[in-house]
Amino acid sequence: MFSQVFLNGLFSSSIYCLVSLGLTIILGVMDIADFAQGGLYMLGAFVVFFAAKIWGLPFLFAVGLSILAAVMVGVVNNILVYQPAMKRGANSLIAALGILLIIQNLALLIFGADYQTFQLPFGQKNLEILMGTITVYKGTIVLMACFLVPSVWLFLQKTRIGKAIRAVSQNKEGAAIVGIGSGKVSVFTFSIGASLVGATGAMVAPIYAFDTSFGTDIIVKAFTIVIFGGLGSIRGTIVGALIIGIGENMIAGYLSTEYSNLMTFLLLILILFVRPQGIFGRKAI
Amino acid sequence: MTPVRRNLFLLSFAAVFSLTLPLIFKSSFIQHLLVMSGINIILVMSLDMVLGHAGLISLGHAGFMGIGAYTCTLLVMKFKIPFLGGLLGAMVLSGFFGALIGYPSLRLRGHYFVIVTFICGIIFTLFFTNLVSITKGPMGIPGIPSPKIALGDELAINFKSKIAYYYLVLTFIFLITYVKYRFYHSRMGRALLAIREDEDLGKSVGIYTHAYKVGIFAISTAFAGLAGGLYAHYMRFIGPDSFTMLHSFYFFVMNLVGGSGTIAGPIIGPLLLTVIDELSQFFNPALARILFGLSLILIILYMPKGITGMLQRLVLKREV
Amino acid sequence: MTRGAPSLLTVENLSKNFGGFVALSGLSVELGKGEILGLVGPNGAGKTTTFNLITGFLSSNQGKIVFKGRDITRLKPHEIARMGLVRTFQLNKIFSKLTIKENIQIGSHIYEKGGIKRFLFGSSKRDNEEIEEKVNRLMCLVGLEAQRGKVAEDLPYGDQKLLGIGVSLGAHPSLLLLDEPFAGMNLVETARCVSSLRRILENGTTLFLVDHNMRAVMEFCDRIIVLNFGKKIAEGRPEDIRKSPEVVASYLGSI
Repeated sequence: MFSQVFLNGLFSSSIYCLVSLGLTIILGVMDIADFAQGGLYMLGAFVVFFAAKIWGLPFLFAVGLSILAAVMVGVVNNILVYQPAMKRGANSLIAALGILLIIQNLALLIFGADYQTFQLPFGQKNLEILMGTITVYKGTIVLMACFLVPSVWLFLQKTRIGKAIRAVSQNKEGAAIVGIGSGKVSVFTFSIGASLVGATGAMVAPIYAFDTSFGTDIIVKAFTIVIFGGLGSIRGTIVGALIIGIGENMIAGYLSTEYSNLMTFLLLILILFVRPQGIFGRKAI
Repeated sequence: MTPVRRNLFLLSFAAVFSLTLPLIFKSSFIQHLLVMSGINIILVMSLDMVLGHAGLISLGHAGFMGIGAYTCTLLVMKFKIPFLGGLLGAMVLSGFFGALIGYPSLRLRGHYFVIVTFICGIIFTLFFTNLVSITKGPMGIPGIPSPKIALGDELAINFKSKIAYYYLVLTFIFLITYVKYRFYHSRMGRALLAIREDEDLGKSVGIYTHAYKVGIFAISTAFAGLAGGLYAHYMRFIGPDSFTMLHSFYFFVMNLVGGSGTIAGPIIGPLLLTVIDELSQFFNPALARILFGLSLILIILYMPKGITGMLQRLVLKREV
Repeated sequence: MTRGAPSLLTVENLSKNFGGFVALSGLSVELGKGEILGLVGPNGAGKTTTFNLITGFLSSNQGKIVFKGRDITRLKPHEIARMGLVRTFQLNKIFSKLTIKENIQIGSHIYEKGGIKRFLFGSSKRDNEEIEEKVNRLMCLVGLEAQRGKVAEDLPYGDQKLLGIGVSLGAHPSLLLLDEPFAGMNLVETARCVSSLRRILENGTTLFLVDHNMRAVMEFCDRIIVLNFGKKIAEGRPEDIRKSPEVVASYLGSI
């Protein structure tokens, strides 16, 4: 039983980590709580559904389309709403909730209220690992997370653009003086976040039934993880995702599912009172 | 006409007008709109106490409304306590939880307080759904009786009709408007202003800012509980779905659209948006929600002082 | 420099570090009633940190602070202010959208009468007259009576700084800590500020100030403490400080 719960937990952690990664970078770099990513997650799922099931396109291609759609919407959000909001000193969390509401209800108008499901013709075989089973597909997702997360970290550390992003997060004016426009960096950072979240939404679409409110729960969890681990800290996101992903599944497995949600939120309240900047957070309160 | 005289005139006009409204509009639907707007006005007025006066954003007020609703309902239905007693109990319990949550979390910086209220709203909904022995869980509590207020041994007013309920709600609105007005002209109000504008400066002259913040938050949640009690006995049914994050968000939008930190704002905002929300059942609720989201974004970007702010600017322009 | 009179403020061995950075190390100060004490030092020497520690805005790692005979080391800022120890801020703080009267009224919060009855039914005529009289008195004390009725953000910079002091005076401080009162002021404004401070002194408030304007500090203060890199490097009367080689070196940067 333990290994099954643990494997489930690993899978949840991988999903949470991927979704939280973009969020923590955006929050750490430009102080924007991009809740609207919940909508991008849902968009990813719906686009892959239409592309793969309805139009019959190959799965990977469909995922690519999801990423594209998520990035487009994410960039539009950034340019139309977030950048003006930051300039005027408006609260980005509130703006984000507004955008999320719009995206979810637009989707409701377009796609309808029904839950959608679809099955993948491949990857359904079960793997046996240490007395627990996990499908090949889910296992692949876990592996992808293990690959993507360090890649993003490397990207931020080693590439020119990555360094530019980090420069802006530390000192916007200083970065501007040396020619790094914070507007462009903003758009680019949002694209990274959007592609991660859209891709994840697309990848989990074959696993869960989803409707237009699909992203709400996970974005709240992701936000919790980001605060728990520390804004802007990738290490913190990984640790947070592991603790919450595995913890939730443990409690759901041994106690009940209702209490697993409660645990996550109580953990958040705890960290806010004990160490508000998160486990690995740099910024002082 | 001096600004003070003008405001007084507008206020009296609004008061008289509101008293005569149900006599002008006999339609049952419009009377329903009036009552719902009234209840939302009470809630948004309570929200504005923290947002407008102390500068704190609370995204969990629907949860406190829910606590008040369930408390009042249970006191009246299970313990046979009279309606006004139930309302009082609702206010006390909601206020208590507000103080409980506010005491530790108001020490945190602004951003983090918002998050705590957001999470609390979610946790309250979880409790409403899962504490089935108390709240009857997701099925909710049906058959809530209409309020009876006893006047002496023989006489009692029964607020069954919509018109009667409207006047009940209106009475509370008048009372709360007065309380809100007093915030602008009292020592406590000045302390809250100091906290909103520059908390450190306030502390440096001896203002116990934390106590004031917890106090106003508790008062605000108490009035949210009052709105909850009124809601329960009007709708005659409550369930966990009546007090969700979405509702908290709506109230916030109503406050901002109307204009926070004013007296007219928490009246105009809920009035306008409740009408839109209730009308939306005839076309498409999703459209109404898109409208809410859009108005929020437009308001925070281009009209941060809301409709009231815009009206004030128009009046000032004309005076110049 | 004991005079036999009990000191108003005693700071013993006060230290503060932020992680590895030592902002203040082993500072000891004694301040008697009616004195004017000045605290100077190059940028980053620890002056504002000292004020933040004394007034409770920062908590110390080591040391003790005694005010009016009471240990205030662990007290919160508002509790310390209520005892009569008030500070102004380096980046001048006022309530910009309010009038001068409203500003000073908020400053007098702890002495204004409140309570539920006044909340619901308003203050009596006598209450209002008392407040009016007190605010007027404080306005004259800082020299702003000519600007009465104006909104704070419409005042020229020098007057805004005087208003900042006026707000602090509302709390009836026995000891006023002034963080760079002369910063950004020209000669005329500085002279006005100095005369306001003299009036405040005559009114019974002891002054402890930090500033970079060495001329004003030397002229005005009875005693000066010099900080550098978080440590006290000199203490004494202005003429002695002026001659001290360590002080000169700390400002010129030689080792």
